[in-house]
Amino acid sequence: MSYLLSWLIFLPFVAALVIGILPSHLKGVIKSIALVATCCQLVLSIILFVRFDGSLVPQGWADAFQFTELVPWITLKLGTLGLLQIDYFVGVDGISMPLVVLSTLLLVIGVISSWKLEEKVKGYFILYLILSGSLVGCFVALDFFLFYVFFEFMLLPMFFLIGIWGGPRRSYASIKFFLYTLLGSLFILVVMIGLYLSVGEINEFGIQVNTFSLVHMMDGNYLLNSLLSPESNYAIWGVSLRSWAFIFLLLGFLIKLPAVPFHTWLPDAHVEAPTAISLLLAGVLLKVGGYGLFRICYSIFPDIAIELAMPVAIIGLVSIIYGGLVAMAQTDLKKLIAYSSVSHMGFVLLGLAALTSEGVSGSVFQMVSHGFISGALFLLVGVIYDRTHDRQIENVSGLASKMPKYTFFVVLFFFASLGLPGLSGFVGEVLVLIGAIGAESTNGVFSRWIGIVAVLGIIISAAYYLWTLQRMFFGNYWTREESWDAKMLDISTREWLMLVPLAVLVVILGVFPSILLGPIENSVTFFVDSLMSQGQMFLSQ
Amino acid sequence: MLTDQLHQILGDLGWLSFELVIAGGAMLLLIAGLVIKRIAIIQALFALILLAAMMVTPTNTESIAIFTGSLVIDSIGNILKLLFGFSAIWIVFFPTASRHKSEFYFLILSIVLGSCLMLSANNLLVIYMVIELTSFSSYIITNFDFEKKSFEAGMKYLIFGGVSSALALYGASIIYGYTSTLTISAMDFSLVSEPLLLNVALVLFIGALLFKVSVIPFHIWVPTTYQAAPTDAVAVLTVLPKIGAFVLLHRLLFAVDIFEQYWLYSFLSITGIATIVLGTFGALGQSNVKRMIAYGAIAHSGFLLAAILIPYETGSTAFVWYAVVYALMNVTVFYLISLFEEQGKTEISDFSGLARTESYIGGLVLLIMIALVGLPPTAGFTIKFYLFTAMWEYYQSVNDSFILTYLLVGVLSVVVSLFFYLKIPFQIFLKESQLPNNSRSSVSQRIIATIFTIIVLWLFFSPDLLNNIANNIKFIDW
Repeated sequence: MSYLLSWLIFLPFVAALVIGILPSHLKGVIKSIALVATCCQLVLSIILFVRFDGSLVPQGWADAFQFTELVPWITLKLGTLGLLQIDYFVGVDGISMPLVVLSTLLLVIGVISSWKLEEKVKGYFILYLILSGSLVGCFVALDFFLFYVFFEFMLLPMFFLIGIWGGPRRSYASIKFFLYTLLGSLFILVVMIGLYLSVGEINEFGIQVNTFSLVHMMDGNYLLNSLLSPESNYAIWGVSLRSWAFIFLLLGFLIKLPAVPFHTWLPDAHVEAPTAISLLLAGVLLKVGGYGLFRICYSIFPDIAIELAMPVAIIGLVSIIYGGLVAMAQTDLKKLIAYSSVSHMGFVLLGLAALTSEGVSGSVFQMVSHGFISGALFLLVGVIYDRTHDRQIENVSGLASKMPKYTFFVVLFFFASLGLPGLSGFVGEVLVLIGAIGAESTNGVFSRWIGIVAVLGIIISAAYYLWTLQRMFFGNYWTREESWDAKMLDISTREWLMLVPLAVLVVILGVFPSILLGPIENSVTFFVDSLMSQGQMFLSQ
Repeated sequence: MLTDQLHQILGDLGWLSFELVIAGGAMLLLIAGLVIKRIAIIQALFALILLAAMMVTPTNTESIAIFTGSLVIDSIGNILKLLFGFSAIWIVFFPTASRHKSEFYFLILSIVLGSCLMLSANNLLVIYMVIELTSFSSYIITNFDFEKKSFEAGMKYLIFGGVSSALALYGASIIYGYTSTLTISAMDFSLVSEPLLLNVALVLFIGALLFKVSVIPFHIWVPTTYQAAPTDAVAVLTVLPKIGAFVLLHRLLFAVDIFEQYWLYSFLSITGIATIVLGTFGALGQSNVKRMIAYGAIAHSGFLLAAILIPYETGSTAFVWYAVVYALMNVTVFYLISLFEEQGKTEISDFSGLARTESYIGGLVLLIMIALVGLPPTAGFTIKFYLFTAMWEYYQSVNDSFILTYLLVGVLSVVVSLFFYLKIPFQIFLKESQLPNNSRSSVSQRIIATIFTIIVLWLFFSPDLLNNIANNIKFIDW
């Protein structure tokens, strides 16, 4: 048994502890420790990526995961019900592995991006490292309880990172963020309680053991006469309890994703958050919502996923179109990118709802690619903001002549985001659209028009990105304030260091998508197949 | 015949070792207070009495009826006695402790005594007596700062308490008239053919208990009293009489067989739901720290009430867990509040910008507030989680819509409670202070606060202790 995943989770916590002991005036040392810790995490996750066996063809959820570690954590007597078992159970499959790699990379870039921070450095990096440990923990947890703990544990560091180091309206934004996500996670809590009381097995002593193991839940090991088993006849207001559970989970994760109409916390949080935190928020935290949909909502309730594919796809479609249209109306560059995130995460939802292998792999690909692209875009906004402390699009123009390197990166990532072939955004979106349009003929979960209308999303994103390029970067050089003129230097080495890896990855993934699609192929196929077969089986019960 | 009874009564005295030590100790402390003027010695004596009482707590696992059924000594009572002693002992560490007179500790001991007897009382008159014992000590202790405001709070408390115990006594007389017994466990309500008047009497009597546990609509005294009473007394008042009265309520409800009396069950469920809703929303508007925590404590009563309404072992376990962690959280939070009170900070807005000098204590405040909200990684999450589990299990077996509503209201109240509990850490960390702040807490205060916070965290990561407590209790007897 290798302890690779545990190292990935607990290394940052240890680093946070070390920083906690240090006196707060050693700012350089603190920053270095944070950098070293996140770099170690990155190295470990690269080892994970390389050693990940993509050729493995799983037969059931039990052997779908690699690098698994299982240690019993809490065993409780549960009255008449028997035993309650909570494990420290971690492992990765093709869906979570890319997300772990993505988060560790962005975490390193986040530290570099916060390098110039001078205010309350100690507190900042402690919270940052706690956040980074919980993020990885969330992606690798295979025990629902463990997942939930990490999921909740992310909220507090995030709340303070936005609330203390954020912009002028930081307290409003951080509280809004906290309340929205907490509301969502409480919906998840209710379903979690219902699920573990319904899932389990009878052990060799004839005692019923209720478990939080996601593997058991995905395999559908329901106990007899439990509320959430597919045979249960319980219904509230004529809707079966399983549907309610699915809807609750969907709500919880859609708030995190975020999808329209639960997205309103996102622009506020992004605008007020410091650059590094925006980067993590868009790059990694939103993916936790997407990942939760994959791992929990869809895998455990495949029957309802098939039944409700149409409404979910429509929510995805509305997010794509509405997010794009609202982005077009923004005057603040950071808000524009925040809304474009809403639009692009809509593709993730749409691809998942299609339940075809193209759609699902496109959805995973889109999560990774959006992580890189949106991370880079927020860094690019940070570049302008650092120099002028202003983000209004109309306040500058003609930057191309003054800052050519900066303009190059902006153009690259704008085009990647709008889906130019050859860059990573294209692959994800096209796969999702193929999946969505093909869904009607493959499994018939929803009609073709949804996919066709979603294509409009790409056109809308082209419109707002190109329009922004034209307004800010082309034409005559001009700035609103005279004093900004001297500060408009091209990107520094530090900024260069952050942007180049992302740019390289965006190009490589665009040209050779098989680097990512190869290792995850078997997992995605298994995910889709087991979802469809199990879903049909549950429905027939 | 008479000698037999006397012998039996004398023999039963041994089961009351905890209460006897407390009662004797309280007398001793009162007399010692006349002679000894050094308050530190009185404090040491107070702690010794509680420790001695905890040492001699009976350890029987079967429940035993003593004094011809007036009192019942059972395992849950024994464990909660230890909890009461443990919670009460810590008040000597409060920064205000050295300013009190010896009578203060006498009154605390009599609250402990009354609350412990609540755990055993099985006779309507004994119940009345122990409620009055705790109430009178509480009325006086509320007024122990000798200020106009606390006098007002004490009067308010006294009037509400007086009315509710008068009604309870009236109710008890009607119950006695119908059942011709004062012993709760011997009552049989099913023999009464037209129970309307009996039901009214039952509500009147339960009202006195609901008053003690501060459930809506008997909560009106709580915020004022908590705000005005000395903070160390509040730490005891929020925990001991409340948990004691809950155990008593549980005993009464199961004696009248609440599941045969669906009206009573629905009445209590609705009260509980209303308690959670009004407690959480009431806290939102508060600007004084102690008042806010008081409303939060009202909401916690709603959760405890849910636990005693579930007739399964999980429900009882959930109650004991909740009681233990609730006690720990409350003692800690009032300890932290009293640290700030020493620096003259009683309003929430006074906490602004404290992170510059008090970031360590601020961090502890944050953790305790998170525990009070009920989020991981604190034991506050474990207890709420276990309680929700018990409620779900009950719902699964009886399919009763009250308990489902109760569950959903409980879960959703967590969001609202986050909003107000987080106000304090929000002020400490996120606001800039208007006033210069030079005061700092001492190292010993930090250590005590840390110990408590660590317990609350540790019980999350390793709930074995809680589990052992639950395993040691014979719930069938309870």
